[in-house]
Amino acid sequence: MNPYSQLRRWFALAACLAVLSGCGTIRKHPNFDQRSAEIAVVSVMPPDVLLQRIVFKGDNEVMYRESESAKKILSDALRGAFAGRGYEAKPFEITKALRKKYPEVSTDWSKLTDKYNERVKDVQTQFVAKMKYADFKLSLGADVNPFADHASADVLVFMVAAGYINSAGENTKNFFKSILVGVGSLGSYVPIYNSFGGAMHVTVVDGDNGDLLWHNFSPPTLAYNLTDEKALRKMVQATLKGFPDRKAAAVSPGAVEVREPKIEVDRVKISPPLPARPR
Amino acid sequence: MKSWLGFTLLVWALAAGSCAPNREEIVPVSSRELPAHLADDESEVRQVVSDFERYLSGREVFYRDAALETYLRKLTVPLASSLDWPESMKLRVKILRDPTVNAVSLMNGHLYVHTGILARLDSEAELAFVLAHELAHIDHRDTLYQMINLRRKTVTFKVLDLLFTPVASLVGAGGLSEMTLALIYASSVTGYGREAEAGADLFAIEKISRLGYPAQAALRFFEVLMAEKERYKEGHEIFFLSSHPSNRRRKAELTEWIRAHPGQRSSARRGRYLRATYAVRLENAKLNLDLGRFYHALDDVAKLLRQNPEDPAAYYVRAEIYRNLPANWEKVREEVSEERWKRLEALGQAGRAERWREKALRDYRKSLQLEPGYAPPYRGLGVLFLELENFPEAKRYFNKYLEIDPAARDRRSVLRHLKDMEAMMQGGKA
Repeated sequence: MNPYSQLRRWFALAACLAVLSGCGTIRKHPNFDQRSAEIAVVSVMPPDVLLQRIVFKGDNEVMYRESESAKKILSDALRGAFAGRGYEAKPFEITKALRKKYPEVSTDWSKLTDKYNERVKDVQTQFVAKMKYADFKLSLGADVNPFADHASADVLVFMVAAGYINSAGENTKNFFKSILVGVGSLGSYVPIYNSFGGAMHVTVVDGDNGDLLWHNFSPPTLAYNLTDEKALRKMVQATLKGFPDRKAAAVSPGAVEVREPKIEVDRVKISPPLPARPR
Repeated sequence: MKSWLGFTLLVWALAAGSCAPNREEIVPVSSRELPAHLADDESEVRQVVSDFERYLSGREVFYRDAALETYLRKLTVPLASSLDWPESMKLRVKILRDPTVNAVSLMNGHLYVHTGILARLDSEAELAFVLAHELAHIDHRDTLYQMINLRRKTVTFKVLDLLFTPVASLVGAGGLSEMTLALIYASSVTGYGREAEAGADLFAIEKISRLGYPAQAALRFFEVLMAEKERYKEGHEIFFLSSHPSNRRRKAELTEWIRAHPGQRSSARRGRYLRATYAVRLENAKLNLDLGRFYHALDDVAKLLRQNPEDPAAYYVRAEIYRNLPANWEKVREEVSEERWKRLEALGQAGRAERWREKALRDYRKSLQLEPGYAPPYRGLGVLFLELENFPEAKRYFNKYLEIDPAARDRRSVLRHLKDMEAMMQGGKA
């Protein structure tokens, strides 16, 4: 909730992940390969982005305006990345018309964002503690249904990103510190400080049951300036590298009988068996 | 080792000297005009506050309940009656949908109360103490002084870092120096500081006593929060405490104040508080459940059921908590205190799961017994039986759910469950 604590969390995460940068970062649901074959329509949810300017005096500034413009760029970049893989990708927008039809949409979206951020923390815990793929079974539950229904999408794409950029004063301090430490260590160690950095998580979520199907975070070895459009687009490409192209068999929702809900179970179209994964 | 300790103490001393605020300098909003040299700082803080509020509004983080907001406003106005604030400062109380125990005040006169603190408090008197405490922070301009201190501390630590780290690098201890400084810095910039908290406590206890609330409510508030530490792992919760130093000392100071001011019999208005906050406390339980804070959610529901043992919604939420526990026992381990976890661990994983599922089943059924037409428990029972691989029962409950609520927002997930089950049953037959 607090933007400052959120940023601290992200930078701590980035530091942790830098240590583990040699490992693969993509996480997939155990049934991802099977389920990805059913994906045709992707809805890109509004990214959750927060940027901060680190200043020498310590009262760091949250860059609200830059965060807003980064959100738009990231949403567009995500849409483009999925479209480039053959999916029908569209951004989810909370419009006036949608608010009229679904008055709680903003509140429900806010709750879902909080829940997603919590699941991202779970992913980090699993990543650091377990380092294995088989147990990647996390879910946002049925709360995703109204969003997937309104978007007529098979999956929803969530993103959370955070970044910082140093002020001139902070950069000057870092520059002198590098020189002084270099002199102090007689040239054996000269620290280099980035003047900006950022991290992002992207998750593809099943619109039916909220399962996290595919998850990745930005390569921790690279420093990104999240106020730079090119860097943002590059970061999205790098993070989505490894997400498969659309399978030819996938069909748009609406063509599948389950999209036209009927209570009688016997008439619901049957797909290959899946293990029980409630909520 | 000795020299490192000396270094740490030296840093502490330098930092403390550079940033300890002089309480005599503090200019309350309601007493005098702000000195000219602080005016720029204050307008900066106001800008930050305004940006922050815009950010909060954009995220729709508020819990909206007109009746509860009116209740909070009626409670706050008398607490602020003695404060002569400029017209530009409008007193407002809003509820943040956040299950952590906290309350926040901003320099423009706006108070933000977390749903989490409303769930933990027991009476109107305790809430009045919290609100008065936050009003005091606004009136004492604690945010402004906190920002000034933060700047001083940050500059001091950065200068110390520039001085010590290169010197420490000579003996290969540059990293250690940086880390020590960072730790000391982090621990020194949290919260408003002891004196500011003590000042706010004093203001609050005087205020609530004058308004006829028992002053002991302040002590009970601290006791409730400190007891949280026994139930949950430290640092996982209790923001109000963690950002407010020396709580035992604060409680002791308030105890002294109460001894010196023997009051008349007064009412904490417990019943009125519990009635006014019932819905928000139920919502807080759901928030805790959504965020995987299962035992916090159980505590919330237990309190609701003590108040109203006939509430089908509370039984349903508790059933959902129990149903979700077996798959999330690792989160429980992170959440509860070591002592509590040891008791759960003794049951074994299978034993725990069985016990939790039994409780879920019992609560779903109780909820339906109280209100047979209430749809959510049918869905919950469907999922529970699906987890137990009792597909015919699961199917029966899912169908009943959709029969009662054909336009359910989550019907898509129910249909998916039905579809998956059907496939599994077909696979079994084959």
